[in-house]
Amino acid sequence: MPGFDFSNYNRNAALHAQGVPLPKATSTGTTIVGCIFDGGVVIAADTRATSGPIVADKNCEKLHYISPQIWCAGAGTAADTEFTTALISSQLELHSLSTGRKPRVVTCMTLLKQHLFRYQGHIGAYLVVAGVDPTGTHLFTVHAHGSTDKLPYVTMGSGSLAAMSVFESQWKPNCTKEDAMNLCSQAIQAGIFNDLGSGSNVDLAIITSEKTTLHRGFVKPNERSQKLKHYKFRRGTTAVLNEKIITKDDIGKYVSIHELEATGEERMDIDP
Amino acid sequence: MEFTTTGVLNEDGIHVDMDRLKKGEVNMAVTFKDGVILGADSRTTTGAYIANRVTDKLTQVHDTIWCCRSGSAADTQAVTDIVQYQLGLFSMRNGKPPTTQTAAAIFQEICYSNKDRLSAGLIIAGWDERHGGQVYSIPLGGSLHKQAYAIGGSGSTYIYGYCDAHWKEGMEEQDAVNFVKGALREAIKWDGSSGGVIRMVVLTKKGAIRHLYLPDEDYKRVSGRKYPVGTPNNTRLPVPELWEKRQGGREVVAHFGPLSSNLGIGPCFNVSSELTSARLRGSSLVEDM
Repeated sequence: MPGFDFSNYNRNAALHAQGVPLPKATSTGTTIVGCIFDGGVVIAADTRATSGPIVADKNCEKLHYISPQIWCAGAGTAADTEFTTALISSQLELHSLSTGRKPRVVTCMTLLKQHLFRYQGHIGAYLVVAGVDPTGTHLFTVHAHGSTDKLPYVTMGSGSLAAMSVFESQWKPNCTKEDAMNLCSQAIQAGIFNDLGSGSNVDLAIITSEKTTLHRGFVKPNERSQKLKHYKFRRGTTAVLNEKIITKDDIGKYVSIHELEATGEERMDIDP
Repeated sequence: MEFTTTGVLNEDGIHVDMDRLKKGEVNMAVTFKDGVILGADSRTTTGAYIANRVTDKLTQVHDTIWCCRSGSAADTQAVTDIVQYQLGLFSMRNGKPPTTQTAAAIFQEICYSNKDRLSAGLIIAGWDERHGGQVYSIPLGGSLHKQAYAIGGSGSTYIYGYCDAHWKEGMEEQDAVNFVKGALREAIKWDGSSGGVIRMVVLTKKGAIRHLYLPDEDYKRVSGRKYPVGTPNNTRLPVPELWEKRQGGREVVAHFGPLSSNLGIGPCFNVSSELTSARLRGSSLVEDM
């Protein structure tokens, strides 16, 4: 049966009981959003991955491929979002091949929620599922415990509050593609600037019935600029108190060399 | 080392997951002269955050059998998805729709046999040819109670008195609607974890009709959608102040109206959300009221 192997969990628990700290999962303190417009859907994400207080990756990809017209934005445990989306992507492709139909967003959402429900929240995947299929445009959120919501605009992750404030104050019905792109980008930036767990760039994907466009680094508000000063020390900054030059021959005074005779088993074979 | 079913092992021991989506809420179902009415608020919370302010907690499991979900969002969705499948299978095998009692019994079977794994409080209400409108309540332990009306969710504690004082046997439809609305308004007013819009579903011989009441319009009725039994799903009249959208054969989203939240900010919408794997059957809107 496809699924996850939790045998390491018991090993970790046993190690933990002996005082060994548990391994830390890379959690994507994240801002992810999605917004429906007339004719398609936009999803966007920031690109910071954190492990505790450390930024583990400054430019990671949180937009995951499911099928050409269905994409997922993931928050929560990075490994879990990565593997669940890959697993469901695979199942959905096989399903589409066996039915001879294009994959549907509801199907994807149902597979995800049933998988996540089975693992009772232990798989820490919080997802925004978006796509266009023969039945129309869809946007869902799926929580780690397996609950789902269907809304015209959604936010998830630690930056979801900052992002939602953008949607709640600026969203209007009947968005154009440009409106939706701008709104999603603004929402992610609200997360990047106001949430400690989110940062770096905005990734954005636009899905319409014609095509899917992925903009990696749609906005880069945190580019490293040229340093205003350089911090090299000038030659002669440190005073020279004395100087002594030793020649190659003198090294023998400081180092002694002994030839050791290898014996029996320890002797290595040397090509003649 | 302790282990619990709900906890996650952490560096400093057991961490109980507070982020599990809960529906601190209120919902109810009442019988009246011609059928039964279900009503619910629309708030879903994660801790102190409202994860969805326009949730649809009234879920269809068959043409005229619906349920009110309360407790964990994930658990109740999983249970209703299973029951929806079971009832679909039932009607195909028997060539006739299931009774409300059958639906309630399937719900109970799942809730009781998984009682230590689920936090799901359900009220099942339905109309069938044989028994008319009926209400069944399945609280946390998995027991099954047939009642004239039932209330549930965290907000229900505030309206036991209201319901007891105002309930009458065999009300007219409009009186029953007002009774439900009045009770839910009180619950929303006093319970912090209930709120948003009021959704209702009226189940009669004619099918299912949805009602929607927005807080910023003092809970005056905004829309009604009809789902007569066995009607094809291709007609829909536009509603002026609502932005409705149809997608495929499914009853989908959405009314986007003027302000619909009592939070008072931003444009508002409300969506019959949480479209679970669900509504594959073709009953849908024919008429807006």
